[in-house]
Amino acid sequence: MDYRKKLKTRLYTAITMIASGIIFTVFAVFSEVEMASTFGAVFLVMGIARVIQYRRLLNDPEEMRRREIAEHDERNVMLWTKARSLAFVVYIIAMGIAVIVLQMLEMGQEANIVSLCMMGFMIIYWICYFIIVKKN
Amino acid sequence: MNNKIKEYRKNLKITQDDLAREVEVTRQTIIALENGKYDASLKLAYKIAKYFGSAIEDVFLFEEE
Repeated sequence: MDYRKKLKTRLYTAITMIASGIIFTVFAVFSEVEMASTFGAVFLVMGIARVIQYRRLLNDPEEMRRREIAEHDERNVMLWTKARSLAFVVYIIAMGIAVIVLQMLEMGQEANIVSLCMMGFMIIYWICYFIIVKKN
Repeated sequence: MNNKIKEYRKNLKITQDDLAREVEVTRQTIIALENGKYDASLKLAYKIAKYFGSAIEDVFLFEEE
């Protein structure tokens, strides 16, 4: 897909984020759901920041080209992939430690929930692995 | 993998930024390649060699371990 088209799609997503932020904020005013105002604020701020960023890129061809190269740069892609892999390993180890600590604190139910999350994660990992193997 | 990118680039009197723009990567990638910290993909190696008007094996030196 043409990068300009990609940016436009991202711009519309950011506008949708702003709209969601407004909806959440209005919902927070008329309801007692505390999380709604936090979600509303986060969506609004992120949406506005992204709209500004994408509009600036769309109006500056040189900057847009630089951004496109940076996004497709093979070393950057490799670094992002490595960071994601490392984050996955760290997350799994942290969850394993959490299970042990929770068991030691005699919080069996919480430990079970964390264990189930860990198992779910591993199952998702293997499903993704087999899908990627099939596609390549 | 060693390479002669720096040598070729200096011969052509172009900057890392110029080369990066020509082969559509970031300047950081060219720096990493020149310093031997990153091995280029076959596609990038081909692009770089083509830009220098040389064969891949002339620019990139493969050493068997």
